[in-house]
Amino acid sequence: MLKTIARKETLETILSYRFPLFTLICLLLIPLGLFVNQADYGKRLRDYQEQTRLADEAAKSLSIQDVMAGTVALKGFRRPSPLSVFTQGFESTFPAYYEFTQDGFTAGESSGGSDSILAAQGKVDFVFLVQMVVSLIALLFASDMISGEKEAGTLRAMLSNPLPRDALLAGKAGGGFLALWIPFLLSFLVGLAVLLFAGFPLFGGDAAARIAMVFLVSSVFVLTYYVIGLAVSAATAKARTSLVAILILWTAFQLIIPKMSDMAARLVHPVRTETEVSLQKSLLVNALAMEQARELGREYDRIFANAPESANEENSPERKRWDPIRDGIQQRYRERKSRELGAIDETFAQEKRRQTNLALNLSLISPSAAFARLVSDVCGTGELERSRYAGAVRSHQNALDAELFSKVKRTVMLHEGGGTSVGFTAMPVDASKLPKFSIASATLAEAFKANGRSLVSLILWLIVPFAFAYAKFLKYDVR
Amino acid sequence: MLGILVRKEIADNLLSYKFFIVILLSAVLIFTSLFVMGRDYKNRVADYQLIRPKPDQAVAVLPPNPLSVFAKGLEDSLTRSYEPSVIGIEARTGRSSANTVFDFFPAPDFVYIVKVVLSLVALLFGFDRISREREAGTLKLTLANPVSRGVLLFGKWLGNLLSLAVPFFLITGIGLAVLHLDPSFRMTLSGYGRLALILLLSLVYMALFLSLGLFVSAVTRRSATSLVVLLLIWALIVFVLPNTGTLIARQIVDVPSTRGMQEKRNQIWTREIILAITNKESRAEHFKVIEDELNRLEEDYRNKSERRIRLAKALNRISPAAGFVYTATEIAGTGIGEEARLKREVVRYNGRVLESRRREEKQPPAFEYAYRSIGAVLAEGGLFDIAWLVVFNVIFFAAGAVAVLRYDVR
Repeated sequence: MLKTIARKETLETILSYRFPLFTLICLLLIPLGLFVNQADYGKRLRDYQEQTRLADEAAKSLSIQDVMAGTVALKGFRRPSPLSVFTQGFESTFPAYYEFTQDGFTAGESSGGSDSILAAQGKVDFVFLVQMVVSLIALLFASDMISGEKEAGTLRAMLSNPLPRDALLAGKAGGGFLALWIPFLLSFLVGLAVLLFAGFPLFGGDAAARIAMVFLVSSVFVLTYYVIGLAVSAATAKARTSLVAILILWTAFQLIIPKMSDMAARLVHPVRTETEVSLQKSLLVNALAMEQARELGREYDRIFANAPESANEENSPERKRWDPIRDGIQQRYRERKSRELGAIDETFAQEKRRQTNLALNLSLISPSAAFARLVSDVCGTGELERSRYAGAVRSHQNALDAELFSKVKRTVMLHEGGGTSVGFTAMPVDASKLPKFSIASATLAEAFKANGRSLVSLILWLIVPFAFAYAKFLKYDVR
Repeated sequence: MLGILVRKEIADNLLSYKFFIVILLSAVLIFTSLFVMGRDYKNRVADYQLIRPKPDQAVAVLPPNPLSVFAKGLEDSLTRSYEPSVIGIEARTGRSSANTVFDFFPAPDFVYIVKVVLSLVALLFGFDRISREREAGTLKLTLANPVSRGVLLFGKWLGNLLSLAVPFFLITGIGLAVLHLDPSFRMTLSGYGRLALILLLSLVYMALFLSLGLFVSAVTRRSATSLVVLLLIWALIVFVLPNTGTLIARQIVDVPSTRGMQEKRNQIWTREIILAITNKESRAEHFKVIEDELNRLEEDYRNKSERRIRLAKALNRISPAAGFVYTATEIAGTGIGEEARLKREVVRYNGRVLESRRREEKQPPAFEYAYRSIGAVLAEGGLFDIAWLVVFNVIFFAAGAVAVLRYDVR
């Protein structure tokens, strides 16, 4: 019986005028969205390759004099994520590169800003289309499943058969969703064909598995909205009422909840701006440098007061006393600097983490937000990638400090009389052996592990509306 | 008669629960948007206070534009800081948003809400105007009076537009008042003029969707059919068409990538510097060559990319949503035209700074930039876009009038 109901529902949907319309929308939108983003990705990849090549050339001709002068800025580029074709996520807001210098790292420009015409219209990618358009259509399809049949009078006829109401509901949901899912699958496959045709590496690494996951999660997401529509339909007596209710729900999930959660998080946990923090850091660095220069100058004057010419003699007794003292002072300040900068970074990161977590948790009330976050992490353009990127930048700075920047010591001294002097010591550096910047991307399993809450949200939104629809339908007046 | 019809439509709306729910929803959205964007603006102002150039720094950076609360547009790109140097201009992000969660969903500015949600609301107002009255049988009764079908349609259009416009202006007004409770939010008189123009434009945009709704409602027999058809058209207008033009333009006009430019710039620079070092007497000439060639390169790039943007814009205008966004952001001073103009100004400023360095002046010239006046914006395409929206309105309304004439009211 369940099968009959499901088959009837599928056939009915396919025969309705809405079905070809929906198929047309999907076939038009999804491949187009994929194609546009693929072109965009290709451009970013070319930029990335060009830039890394230039940076590599620059690094090869690196000389110790540059390091001494403090003008060296090594760049580490982030390779654009291929699966950003499916969802942009944070992709266009990540800095395209970081610049590493003796004094720490600074973020370069984000990759998104260069194409103003695209920025003006907003992004249209696969996830956005599923989230905004397909979800709305799923709601629309489900909106008159119960109330429509009641109005037509067929609900009564069906229930005069030996058919329990739960089977009817499950059959209707399954059959209706199948009719929706087939055009969705079809357009996804067409989109993949378009990608393949455009030369996108579909089968490199675990890309195929990830794409399959993207589709699976999208299907579950569409089902979620379908079930929500079903619940609304079972709770209302007139088809028009359910339409309005559905539109309101849709707006709340897509536009209001995600933004409200940001806002609430900002109010509860306010955070200083990054400009403020970097200003605070540079103030600290300058203050420490000054203090260190003063202390070095004092020691220098004390040791070389009687024999100023011995400063240039390698083996003079004064030099033998001076060198360890200088190294000790520098070591102490270096440690102090990294400790205090680390503390600032750590508090800031904590503040930000608190705020982000709150915003994230609140936004998961909406299945759309849960879906968008999960898929963006699967595609390597989400929150996970952001933290990986930040971690890679920090560890690369440490590696460069050890391999390159610590090879050169610049000794700035401030003497009591007010004069300044600068001295250098340098060790040879092999420019070709410098560490390469790379980000360890999260694996698929890690992406799912980090998104447990999103999954729970999606599944809850699947079960709760269905249970609600069932409870409502049991009491439904079918006349 | 028209007056009676209009009054009837308004009363009809006021008595339906749909009206109240939809208006409540719009109010929540608009308030949320103004609040979120207002805070964002405040943060950016605080950032600007920190990075603002001192008199001895040659940096071009614009303060945040208060109208970006309503139309964000390319504000992030406009408020970048530009540092002139011999090998071209270095752009840096003017600020870094403290809350990056913000970037995950599109910025919910006023223009976005009008573009996506209020257009949908206008469709909701129009989608069942004719077909439902037929279903209820009141259409027959109305037409038994001495009223022409054209007047009937116009009465419906006007009545619904008024029931849309009045709450819309009220809500926006209240939101604006709340925004002004914060002393750091200040707008100039011309800012209010611009805002009024944006509101008017939004109304024209919504009226267009109302006409479209009435038209589709008059060609379909059942209101459920009309809603589905309208949603399809809505998705096309709002999401698909505004991007196809860009896609096509990209294929037609080829623009060198921004980073490829960097390479060319470096080549020229290295070549001329080596020449300058080898023959010392003509050093100044070589520097001049560098500057000229770089300017030419920049000019060529700019011309190409402007041509592409023009083409993309022209193609995107098939969708009224694209035209609406372009004009609204231009009026607010955050549009594509404003950005191109700023970039040209920055290039000119770069020349001035280099000149002053050559003359070894103590203080670099300060960067000054004035947004285009409303008149200039309207003259440079704004008026065309507004006219374009009106033309869409007239076409949809005329099509609706024809459909109503042929409508079987039984």
